[in-house]
Amino acid sequence: MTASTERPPSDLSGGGLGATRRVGDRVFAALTTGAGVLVLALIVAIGVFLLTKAIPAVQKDSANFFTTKLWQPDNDPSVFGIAALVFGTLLSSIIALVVAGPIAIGIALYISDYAPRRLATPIGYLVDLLAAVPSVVYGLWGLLFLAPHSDKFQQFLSDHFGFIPLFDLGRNGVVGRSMMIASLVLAIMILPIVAAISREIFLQVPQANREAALALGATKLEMIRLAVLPYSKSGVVGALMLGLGRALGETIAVALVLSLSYSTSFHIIDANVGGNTIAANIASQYQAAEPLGQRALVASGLVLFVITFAVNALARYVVTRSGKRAAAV
Amino acid sequence: MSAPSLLDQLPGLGDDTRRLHAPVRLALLALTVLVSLLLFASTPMQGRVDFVVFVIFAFALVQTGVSFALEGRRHALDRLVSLLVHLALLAAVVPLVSVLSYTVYKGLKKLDGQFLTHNLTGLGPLDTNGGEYHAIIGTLEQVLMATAIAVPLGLLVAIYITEYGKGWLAAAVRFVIDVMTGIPSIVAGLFVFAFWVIGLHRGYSGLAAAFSLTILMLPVVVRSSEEMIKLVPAELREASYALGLPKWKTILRIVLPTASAGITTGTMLAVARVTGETAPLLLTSFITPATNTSPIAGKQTAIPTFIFSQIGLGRPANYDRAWAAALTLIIIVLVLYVSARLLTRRNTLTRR
Amino acid sequence: MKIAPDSNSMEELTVKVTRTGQLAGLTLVGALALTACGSGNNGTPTTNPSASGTGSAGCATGSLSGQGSTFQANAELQWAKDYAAKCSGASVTYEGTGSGAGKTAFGNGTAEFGGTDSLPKPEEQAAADKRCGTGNKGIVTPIVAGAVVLTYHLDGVAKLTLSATTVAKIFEGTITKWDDAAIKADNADNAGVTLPSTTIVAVHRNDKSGTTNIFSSWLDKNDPTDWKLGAAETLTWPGGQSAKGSDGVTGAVAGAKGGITYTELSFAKAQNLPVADIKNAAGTTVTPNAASVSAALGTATVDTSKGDIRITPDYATKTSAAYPLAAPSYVLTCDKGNKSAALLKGYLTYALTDGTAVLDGLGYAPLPDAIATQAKTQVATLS
Repeated sequence: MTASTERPPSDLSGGGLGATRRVGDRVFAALTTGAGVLVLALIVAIGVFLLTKAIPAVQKDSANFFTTKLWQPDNDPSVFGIAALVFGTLLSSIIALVVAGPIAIGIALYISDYAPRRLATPIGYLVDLLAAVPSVVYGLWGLLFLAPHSDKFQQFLSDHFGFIPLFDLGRNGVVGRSMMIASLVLAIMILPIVAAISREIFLQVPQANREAALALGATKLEMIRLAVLPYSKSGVVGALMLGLGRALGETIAVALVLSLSYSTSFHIIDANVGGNTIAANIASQYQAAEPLGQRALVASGLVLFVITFAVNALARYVVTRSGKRAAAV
Repeated sequence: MSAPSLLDQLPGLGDDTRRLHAPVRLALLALTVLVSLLLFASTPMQGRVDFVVFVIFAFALVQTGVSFALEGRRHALDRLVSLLVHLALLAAVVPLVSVLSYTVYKGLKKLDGQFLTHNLTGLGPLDTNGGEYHAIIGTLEQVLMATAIAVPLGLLVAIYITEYGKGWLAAAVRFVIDVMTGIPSIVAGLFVFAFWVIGLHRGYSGLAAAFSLTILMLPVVVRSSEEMIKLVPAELREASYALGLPKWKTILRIVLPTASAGITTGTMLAVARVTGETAPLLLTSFITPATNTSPIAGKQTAIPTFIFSQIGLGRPANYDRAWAAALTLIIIVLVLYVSARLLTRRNTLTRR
Repeated sequence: MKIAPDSNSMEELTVKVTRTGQLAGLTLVGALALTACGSGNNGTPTTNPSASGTGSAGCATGSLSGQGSTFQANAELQWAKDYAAKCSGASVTYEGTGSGAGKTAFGNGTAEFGGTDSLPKPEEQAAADKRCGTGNKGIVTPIVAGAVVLTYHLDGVAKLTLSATTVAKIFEGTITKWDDAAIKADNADNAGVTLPSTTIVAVHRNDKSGTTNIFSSWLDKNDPTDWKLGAAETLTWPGGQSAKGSDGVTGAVAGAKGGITYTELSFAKAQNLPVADIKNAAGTTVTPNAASVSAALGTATVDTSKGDIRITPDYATKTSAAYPLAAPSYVLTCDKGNKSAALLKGYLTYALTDGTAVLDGLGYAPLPDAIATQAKTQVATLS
């Protein structure tokens, strides 16, 4: 606008080319900037709209939304809270991370340092395939294959490691669709994510560092400990947190596999105790919920949004700080 | 260097004899298997899975022990970790093979022409026929609409970040895109539900489902496009500028075509990811037994929600339908995934 | 794919996008090809044992959609199929989305009738009245009766009898083994039944459910000392496994040895699971079937003061032939101002007359004669 007034008259003789160029560039710049702003608006809108539906619901809650373990929003009086849901969400995700983390790092190391060169890329694709399997299929498989086929394993844990509270089946315990099976399914689902990002980070370690370590007579393990891990530690921490973020929000697989309850128990192999997560609770309660119940579920979803936003933001910060940004997953 | 082992001090043995070469390790493995077989035959231990697990543990112990004695602590640890790393790969491949093969095995029972061309209307409660035709229509329409929104928008955002973005705004957009990759799909569904379905009283529809899928696709499209655009050599742009092309034409005529193979790969991976999404669809397009070809109005079943609802019904015939639909879904997703990977080879821009 | 009306740049971009989406284009072609196949509806069934030859009387054409209660879903699906076979040009669909969803869908006009196990709450009644238009209101009509049964998975135990107290303790978690003395005592008269020492897996609904309400009301009325959870559609369970929906809990029991759950008889039948007899308040052991359910509803209180038919079951009925866990399921319609009123009338009349023939086979019971007559009269006045 101001630019056009400043333009010297000689530009007119230069023909329309310069003018269209500027107009085109300006339109295009505005268009792309608009798209960027739209993305910002979108994330704000997500928070705002969840909030507008959540606040009235929480106001009608006759109990404390944050400390109540029950979920009966459509009862009179309405009683619901996210305590048991948050507990289950964190417990299942942390178990999943404890199981998947070491395995995923192992796979990443295999691809970056152990695999024959020709096999590394195909094996990377193969592991990525785990991420391509839809969660509803994992749920179906977990419910109808993994849970029934792991009775013996869970019974074994209870028989031999029952002294650890986690594996205590108790007097009334029954193995089956337990928190542990749900967490194992989650572990399988986050495995490819953690593996893919860790792999990228390990591959960014300069080859010269590796060769230097080996030249000093280090074994492969020592080389990894000396040259690879120090360089990539924070990146791997970030990868683990991204995996955690995914596990926190996984819905359908958990809703299908887990015997849902509103307990806060650490007896993870007891299907009679079961558990629940914020996301699984939404999927299982949504259909039968009345208007207040639906808005109560939105309120729980807002809590999930805040938790995952924080975890992801922190993870991205860590990954970015560690050098390059991880590959899009 | 750790304390020298006993063998180090023995005269007459060269370095080579003190290393565990592959044939020796193979012999150790064979020995472990043999002893384990004997154990399983003569003691109450039983079960195929138990056997495999036992052999793996035993071999890890034996190899580490022998290596410790022959090669010393450093090499023993090295061998143990190497074995663990290989086992980690196994731990990923076993569930993958199990999920895929079990789905194929169960799904083939019901997956036929009849299943692909019929919906679930007009069926009595005990009927076992019917199919996923309506769900296929739903998935195609919803994913196509989501792609049609997410790809142009994602490209614009990627261009903004790489070509135009400056200062705090660009940093904020980049940050939000990063964080968006981690938004749980159910939250995307809840947002569209709160904003569109009940907020604007639009009700359930395929379009609402497409909106929620767009939120999930967008960051993936942006991230992959952004990476590809960054890989386009600066010389190409400079040549274009030198020829007098304005920036926007350079981007559209030079940069995007050069990066197109990589962008397509990223897009297809994004499509593969959202095709399998269930949770947001439950809240946005819901479930119906009838075929709804209208993408903009009314409940519409997609393949993932079809599977979910059939599992919920819990009868053998429902499980059969669920498995058959799961097989269909896996085939669609894998075809997308594999073609995306094959396309990567055509990509002339390479990382690093 | 064209988005922007002006500006060359968008055209350019569109071209690139299309190129990017070559595969998407291919799938679009595929989608169109599929769409060309039609709706994929399942055709008229060839065998039709239940439409017992009343010709085309009471037939109307058009389409009608209902949704709601899963309790009555199996009956509705069968009626819809049989009615379509009897009356050409009539299409009725029913979706089992849950009672709450059914009332909501009726209220906002997305369904022509709602199926519900629970009577409308004041705000649901207001929404229904509003939908029906000025001067009209939403009314409920009982359409079918059903039994909530205790179904179990216990190899070698074909006959099982349970009292309210025992059931309360099982679901409270105080009885944990199948060979508990209390269960043995209940089954003292069942010759040849040996109860194994299997651990009990008590499965309950984890979603809001009218079935849970019937089950807990029965326990609450019969043994409020042992049953401490009260009576409601959702309960605060002390333990036990859970699943979603009638089918979900039944499926969970089918998959778990030692399992027991409460569900509608029709769902237990569909899974071929055995069903326990119940000791009622008169001390008689009764099997859930059409006769014992109708007998139980015979002593229910019927309230016609709201201009429709609202039934309060007597869960502690002293009638010796009555199976006490019995309840009606309703359809919610308008008294006047129904969309496709003729078809609605024809279909509901069919359900209450010829349609009763399929009920026993599906695990439902017809309404007791007195209530059925009232219901038919009410349906005849719909317009």
